[in-house]
Amino acid sequence: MTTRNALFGAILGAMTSVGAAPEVWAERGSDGHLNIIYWQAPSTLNPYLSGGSKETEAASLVLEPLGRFDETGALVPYLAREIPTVANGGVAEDLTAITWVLREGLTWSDGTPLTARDVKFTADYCMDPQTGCAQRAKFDGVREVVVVDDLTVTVAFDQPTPYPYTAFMGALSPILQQAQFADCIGAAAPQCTEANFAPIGTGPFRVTEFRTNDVITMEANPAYRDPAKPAFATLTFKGGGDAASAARAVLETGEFDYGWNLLLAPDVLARMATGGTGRTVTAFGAMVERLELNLTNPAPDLPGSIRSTAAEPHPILSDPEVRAALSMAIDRALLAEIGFGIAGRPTCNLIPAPAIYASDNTACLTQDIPGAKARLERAGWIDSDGDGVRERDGIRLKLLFQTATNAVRQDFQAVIKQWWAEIGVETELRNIAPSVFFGGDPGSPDTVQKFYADVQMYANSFDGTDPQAYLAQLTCANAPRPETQWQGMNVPRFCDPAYDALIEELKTTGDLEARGRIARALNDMVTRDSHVTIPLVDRGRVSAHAATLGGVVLNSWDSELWNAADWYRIDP
Amino acid sequence: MPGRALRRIAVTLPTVLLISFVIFALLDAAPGDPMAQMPLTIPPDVRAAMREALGLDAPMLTQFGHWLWQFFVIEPLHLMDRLLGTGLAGESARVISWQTRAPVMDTVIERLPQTLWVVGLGYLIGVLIALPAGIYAAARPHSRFDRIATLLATLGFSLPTFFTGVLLIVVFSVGLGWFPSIYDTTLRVTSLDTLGQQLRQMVLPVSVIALYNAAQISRFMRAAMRDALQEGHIRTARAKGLSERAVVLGHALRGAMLPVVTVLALGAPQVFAGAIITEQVFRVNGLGQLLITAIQANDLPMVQTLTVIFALLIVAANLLADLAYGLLDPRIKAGVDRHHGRG
Amino acid sequence: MAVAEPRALPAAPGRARALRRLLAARGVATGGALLAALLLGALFGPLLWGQDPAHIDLTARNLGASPAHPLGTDQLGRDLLARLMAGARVSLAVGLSATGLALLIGTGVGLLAGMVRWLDAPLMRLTDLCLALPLLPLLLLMMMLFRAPLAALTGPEGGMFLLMVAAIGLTSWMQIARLLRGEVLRLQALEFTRAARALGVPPARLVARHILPNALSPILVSAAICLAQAILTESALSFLGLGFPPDFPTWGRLLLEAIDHLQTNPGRALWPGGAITATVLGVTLLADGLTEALDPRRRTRVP
Repeated sequence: MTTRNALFGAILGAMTSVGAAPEVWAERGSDGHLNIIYWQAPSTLNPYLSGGSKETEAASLVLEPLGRFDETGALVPYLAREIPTVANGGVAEDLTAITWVLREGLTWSDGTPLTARDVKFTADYCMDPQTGCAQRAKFDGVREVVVVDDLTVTVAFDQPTPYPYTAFMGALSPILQQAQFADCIGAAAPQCTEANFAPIGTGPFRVTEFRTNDVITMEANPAYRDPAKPAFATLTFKGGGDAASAARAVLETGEFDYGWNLLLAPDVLARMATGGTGRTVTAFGAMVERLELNLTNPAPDLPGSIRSTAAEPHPILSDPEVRAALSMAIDRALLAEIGFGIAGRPTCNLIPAPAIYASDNTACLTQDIPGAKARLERAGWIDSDGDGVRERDGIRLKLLFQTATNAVRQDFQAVIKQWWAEIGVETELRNIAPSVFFGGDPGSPDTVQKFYADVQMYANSFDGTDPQAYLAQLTCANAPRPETQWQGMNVPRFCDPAYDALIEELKTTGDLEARGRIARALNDMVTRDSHVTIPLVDRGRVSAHAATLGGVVLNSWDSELWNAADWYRIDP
Repeated sequence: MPGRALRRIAVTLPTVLLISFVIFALLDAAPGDPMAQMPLTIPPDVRAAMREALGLDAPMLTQFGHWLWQFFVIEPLHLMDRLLGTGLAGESARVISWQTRAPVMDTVIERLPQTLWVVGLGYLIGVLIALPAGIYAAARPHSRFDRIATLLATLGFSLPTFFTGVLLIVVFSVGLGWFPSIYDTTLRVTSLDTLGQQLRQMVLPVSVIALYNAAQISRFMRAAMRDALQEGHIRTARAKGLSERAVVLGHALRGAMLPVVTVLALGAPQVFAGAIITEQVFRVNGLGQLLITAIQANDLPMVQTLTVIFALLIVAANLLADLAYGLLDPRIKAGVDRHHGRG
Repeated sequence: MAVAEPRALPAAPGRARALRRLLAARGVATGGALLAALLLGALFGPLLWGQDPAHIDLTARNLGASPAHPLGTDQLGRDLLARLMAGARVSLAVGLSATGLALLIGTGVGLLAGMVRWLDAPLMRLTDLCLALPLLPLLLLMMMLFRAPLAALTGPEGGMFLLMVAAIGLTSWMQIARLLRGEVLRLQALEFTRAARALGVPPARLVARHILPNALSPILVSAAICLAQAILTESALSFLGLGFPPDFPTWGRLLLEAIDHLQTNPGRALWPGGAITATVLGVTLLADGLTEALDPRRRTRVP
């Protein structure tokens, strides 16, 4: 049976133990105090009430899921004894249920035992429509969660689910304690400030004080399952400010041991690291900075019901030759170097990882300005009046290019504008406050989804390691339009029946090889073949840690702090 | 006098309600959405459910009425419970932040100490530098002191705090290693040692704020004192042979304080609003940082509450300024006094 | 009556005498020269220097000073001298116009509140409201409502200029208004204004001849501070995406971009920071001279 092979393949590597970090013979709390700085401050420690990575990562020190993704994207059991598969009998043959078995003897930090009822409660908590759960998508397709015995819990799905590792996997879906959150379900969820600010967990640390949007102090969890861990007795998690000063505090003044997401100009970061106080670490995931081209007409004089909808195709960008030329004129390697340094790689793919889903599409990596010009000439776009901008049928090749406010993105805009000028395309730039651009407010003209521009740039990725839901965003039905209150993430308004059919095929395919093949084909359809999405840079994470902090393994598939239990102090 | 002041406060209350409403309407109409900071990976239907759970779908007037009741009735009851140990408020719902899901006022109270210490002290030191510097410069116009003070003041208010703050960090934290660049809000002063730490971590942010305020206020002080020294009665005093010191401090200062009081009354409520940039640079995480993160997250209850408290303080400070006018110069009839008793 | 005497009888100053006094006042020459140099640099500098401030040369990134780039280049290899001079136009235009607008509104509100008794309370509470309004949501709303219509009327950059000037001017007049109101109240209580009123001097004349000249100095200080803040506010707004397109250089933006490079290339921050300070200093010196020259009380004592 192919599905079984698929799942086995997906789990390869999952059987390795968590102890990938170097062995350190320390005892719990012997290494003193750990200082972590995030330049965005966590507002709560309940990841189900906030989807932001600042909250989920801070919470990952306290709350744990049944399994995590390691730095290679493989699945690793945490609270579960092993990752269930068809091969080990944990996943039903017909792929409609997955059964998790907890490790024996696990206790919460208050000393009470962790049971399967806590797992079921977590599902009930998030699936209650009144909770307003940010991770509700993790439980999509879940029919019910059944407690089999104290240590065993089964998740049953509505239909065969080839990839069942959504609920209870990774930093976004950890287990909450039923005893603490029993009265916080549904409409009562926001009232439980104490529980939300200091959840009881099974992780290496427990909260001693939480100050919202400012600082968290923690201490080693006395009930943590490994008696030798964590090496640190106490921890300060400071938030707020900006990336540059966070980097300075880790790399120059040495006030902090770990700094998160230090996306700075490469030369600035490199200079800070020369002192030897700390070093930068990078890891790559599936985050891709891309351009999206509007296939529909965003002209301001169109009525609101038609503007930027399929009713009116784009006068310029519906020409595939123009889209191809725009992509060819870009030097992605240079962009990656300018904007992201060591944390950026040029890419032609929407799905750059995991390897099985990554297409071998590399043709776009070489900038080809003459080729781009030739394509435009062939398609009839000619600069007839000698002003440096091409025209066809009285339409000037002029584009409005918008993105969110961010220093790197504004640099990218300026550089791309210049390259496009070289091939005879005029570009007007606009940047929009992130709170508006990403806000999705149907009343605002400046959101990603409204797309009242010709070209826009942003980054996106997917949770976990399976891209099915992510690719399914680009089906015809997901195009934002007035009837859907401008919701949906098919931002370019791409619509191809062949693509939709292939998505349906992916949803029912269990074989990993076949899933990989389909995902790669889907990726190529929107990038190489149609240039609807122009991938630019595969964005890694870049963080920094003090030279005296050992055990850091940067992970872009889960929380960066996923293995904080293994961190230790290196004596200078 | 107290009766008039009370009457004036009574007149002020409807104004405050009107101001609250205008602010609420503005926040409601401004673009942006509390879901903006959520990652794009969260699908639209989940976002819609989260919005609904926050009560965003209710009509604007309902939301405003709800907030008004909570802010002006429930929250004071909670405050009384907290201070007196009574149980008046019971289980009634408080103003809850959309972002943190915690009572807004609890966070505000948590933030007050660092804001008052850093921003308040910065303002106070700024004033204490500015007043003598401005007076001295005005008494000796075009002297070397006056020129240097003018230059420094111009630098002080034309260089933004995001620049001076980083400059101080680069010099004193990175270069010399004298002071920390990041403020520890959890530090409790329990001993001489911790007091030293507290003072050390306050030096840089307080300096930035003090410099900025001193620069502005000293210019007003100088200008006002220059004017006052031209007054006829000052000339008379001089002609009578009083010492310059007695003339400046004894006679001119009182008249010169009037515009300075206006400026101080405008600046004092700003202490509550915090110093957004300075707080961000040094991570003081006071009320300024709270306001800006709430604005960025479109956390309407938090922004509304902070802004209305701020508005109350502004109204109060300006009323106090009007009272002070009368004390500085009894001939002036500002505020309520102007509507009555003019014969 | 000694108080009133020097002001109650202002001899009509001849225009020429006022001008002579103005030029003679200390600081005026320095301030004027500073501002003139900056304005000339903004107007003619780009013509003389000839480099395109938007031209990206990725082979010449983050360079120090050299004959080809006297102030070095930025992270995209753009010439910083060209950017500084191009930025001068926007920053000076926005800064001066917005300050002018703030002065106009602030003076109007302050005078009305001080002179017209029944308008005082409503106008001052309006001032309180404007002081309390959170700036960022307000500006976001203004941009949302007015950007498209204004752009349609005057083109994207002209529309943005008007919007920026309006946004900054409309949010920074409050200090001027309150200062002026305080001065009007003070001056109205003095004998010479009472006397003037008793003699039947019309209010407009009273304001022009007696009130404004005597209330000038705090207003001018406020205006100089307002100018510095307007230049910086423009850059903060543009940076947040509420202003000019992101590739449009302004002094504030140049300074903002230079912060991260403070250790690698301190000069980058020095030039725009110095330009802003020089502008404000020029205005301050001019304003000081102006106060001294126009103040009726000081006419015998001009140095």
